Amino acid sequence: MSTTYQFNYTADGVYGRTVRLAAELAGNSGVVLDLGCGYGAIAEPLRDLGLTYVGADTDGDGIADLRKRGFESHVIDLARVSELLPRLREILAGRKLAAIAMLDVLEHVPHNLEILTALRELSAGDAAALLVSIPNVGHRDIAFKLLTGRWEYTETGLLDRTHIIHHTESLLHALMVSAGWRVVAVDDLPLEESDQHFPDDSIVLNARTQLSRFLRRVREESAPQAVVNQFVRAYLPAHARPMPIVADRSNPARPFLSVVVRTQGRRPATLRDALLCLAAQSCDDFEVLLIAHKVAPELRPVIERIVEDLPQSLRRRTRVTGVDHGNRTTPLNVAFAQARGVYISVLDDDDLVLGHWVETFKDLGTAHPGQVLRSVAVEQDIEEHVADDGALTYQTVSAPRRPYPREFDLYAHFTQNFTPQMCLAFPGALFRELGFHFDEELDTCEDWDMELRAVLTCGIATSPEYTAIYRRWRTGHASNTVHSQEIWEANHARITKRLNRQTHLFPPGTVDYIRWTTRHMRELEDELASLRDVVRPPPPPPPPPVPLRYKVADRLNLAIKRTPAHAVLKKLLGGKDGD
Amino acid sequence: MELTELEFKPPFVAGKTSLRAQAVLYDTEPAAVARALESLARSAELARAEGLLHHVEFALGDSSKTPALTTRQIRELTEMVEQRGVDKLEYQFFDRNMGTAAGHNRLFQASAADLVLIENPDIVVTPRLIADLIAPLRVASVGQVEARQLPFEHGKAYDLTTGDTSWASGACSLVPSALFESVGRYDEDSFFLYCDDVDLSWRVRMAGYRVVFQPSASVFHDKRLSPSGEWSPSAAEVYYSAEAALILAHKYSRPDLVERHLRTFDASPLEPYQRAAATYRKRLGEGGLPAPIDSDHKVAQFIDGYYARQRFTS
Repeated sequence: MSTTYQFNYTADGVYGRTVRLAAELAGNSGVVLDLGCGYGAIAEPLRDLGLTYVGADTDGDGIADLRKRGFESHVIDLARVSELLPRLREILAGRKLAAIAMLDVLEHVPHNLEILTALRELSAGDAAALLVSIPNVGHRDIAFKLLTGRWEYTETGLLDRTHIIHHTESLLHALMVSAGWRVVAVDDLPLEESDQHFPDDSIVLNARTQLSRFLRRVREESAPQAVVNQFVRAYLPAHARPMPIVADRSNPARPFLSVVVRTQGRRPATLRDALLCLAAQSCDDFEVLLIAHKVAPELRPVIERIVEDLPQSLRRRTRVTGVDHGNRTTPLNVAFAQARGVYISVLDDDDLVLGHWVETFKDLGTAHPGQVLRSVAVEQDIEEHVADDGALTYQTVSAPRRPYPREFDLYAHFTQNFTPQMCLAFPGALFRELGFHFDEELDTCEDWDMELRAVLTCGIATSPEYTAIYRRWRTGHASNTVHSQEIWEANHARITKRLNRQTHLFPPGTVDYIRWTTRHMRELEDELASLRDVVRPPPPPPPPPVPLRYKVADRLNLAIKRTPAHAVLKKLLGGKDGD
Repeated sequence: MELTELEFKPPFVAGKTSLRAQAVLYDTEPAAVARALESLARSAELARAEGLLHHVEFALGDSSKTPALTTRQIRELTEMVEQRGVDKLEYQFFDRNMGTAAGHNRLFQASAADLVLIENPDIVVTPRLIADLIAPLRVASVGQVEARQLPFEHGKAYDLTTGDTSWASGACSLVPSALFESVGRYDEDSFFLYCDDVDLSWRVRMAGYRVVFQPSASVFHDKRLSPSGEWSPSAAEVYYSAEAALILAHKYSRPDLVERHLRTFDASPLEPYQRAAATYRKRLGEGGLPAPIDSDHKVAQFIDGYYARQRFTS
């Protein structure tokens, strides 16, 4: 480090948080090595914990100041990595190491990985904790300003002009894991407005602007560190696991589609048939994630057998995961977190798909990458039936119907869902990159909720092809019959309320749509008004004119009432009017 | 052949048995054949593991103008199915379009298996198909077992308890070879593409055997819907199905239906219907139609244009 900072200790600042972590992990004896210590803001609080504070830095001022305050301190150059370990051992001189602190240091020095690896070796014998503080360059203030082309270095802070490496959560994680450190405590410092929150009139930064509200939602959903100003974390030694520090530009090998199949194992016959449809796909560029949700123990072998029986080419692309908690939405989140596909679609175990289901999605996804993909389903009724041998089977009892529109109308979809879930394929990046997940408060309509949020984010590409059969149970257990109307309505309200609260992106054409709808509504209102005129009964005739004599009599009567004599007469009559 | 009284007939399958699965190709995509054979081989592998089969073989007949499969593809398919325990895969290039009836009869000539599984060439089968189709043949009097077609099921009715049904689709059904032989195989002189399966089933029933539908034996028969969400048959499909409808009505002693069909077809603006009516009359004049059977209508069902009662109509 070439610059020494003198910042004050505050209990809720970086230093206070570091001391809290030390109190938790360093015990009350041994040396705490504060590397890049500056003026040693944590020296006294650590000493108060019973620990031996030892500062080390390249700068003479801070070292001298610490010595004046009675603390041991040493000059050290972290940039000379090869000399680091012997030098630190020399400083320790056989004393027990309780912890190492590196507060706002790693961003100033090159060779982060080598330094962290040397510290890992130093700490191994004592299992000493590593306490780290690092500015988060992923803070939303920096991200939003960069959208407008601004990357503004400052003398101190998140974009301190002397920073060599800009850290994000993922880079920090990769460095630590690669060097053999395992995070054991997190006390990150959040700041709604970082030191990069300037100028005050910035549209992208101002929380009240629509643009900023939209950006904030995207940033906050993508990763939880949107307002972390500094990562303040504690680590313990662990096995080193090399992770890429530098991003690999090549796209990872992924199947085109991840097919998520939810089952409770209650209807093996329909599950077998759904898997048969997958075995017969004209395009085999997909994997299958079979989620066995709350499957009764006696049914688990049945599911395992069904998968084991599959033809080899499908079996090797099929993974089974058991999920024993949550509602019907939970398995979706479990599966989507595992899905490797460029796109992800959900096929329930009682629905069927046609032979070109995957192929249609792939054609669409190739032409419209990143957008939500949609094809069309027909609908058919089935009934449960118990066979002679007691096996539960089913019978198809209606011809296919076509209740679902072949074109996607976003605005109509705000009123109700016209798209069965297997007719949609979501970009996997929605979940991997933007942090989307299904709302587990919903036990119905979770697909509709995701569909609207995804389409408002990605847009949608549609094919008019019929590729699936949505099957309705005339008899037996189904989500549309096991939940009460109140639950459906409550979930409906929850979804629309949230959507209405948020700022969204609407697709091109929306202005014309709203203009047309508004004009059309006005025309209809005008038409309705004219129709009302036609059917409205004529107004009642005006009352006949009052004869002149009655008018004169009324005037006279009023004049009399205003005379003093009338008042006297009224009093004599006991308040009664003297008419 | 007239209907014999239903009498006790011992089951066709008692212990381990042998099976020949056969399909007739017509410009079928090699990838579709590979999917079909892999699924069928897996089903055979499982049936064998359960001790149901001691021998299983596949046979493909090719009615395409040029071979649908290359020598290399045949070799690869053979290796693939043999790795899964199939004893052999036969491939015959017919060098002419024989249609399904004659094609299956030709393939059957080379069979020594106890059971013959008649399939469309692109049918993908559920892993337990063979076991599930064999099971009813262990019951007395059952002579033919039909699979459930997906994703679009056939709408014809079946008895929920016994599985009994009017006829079994040739898309996928299992017949004991001895019975197939004894009823005269497919009527290839009368039928080219359609109704050959209806006719076979009705002759099986006339021989005193039951035809049953097996709901657990699912197969995927690749069908697509037109933009209107309905079937859109090609002109050839319209022609051959119209011709077959006339011949089936004739063969099962329903001259009234023949007349009605002819009037309808003659009045149709569609050329395939008119051509089917003309062909029928020509064959009638040339004595090229089969002798009528089932004169007292004990087996054949002609109900609102279908050959069985329907659970639903598309």
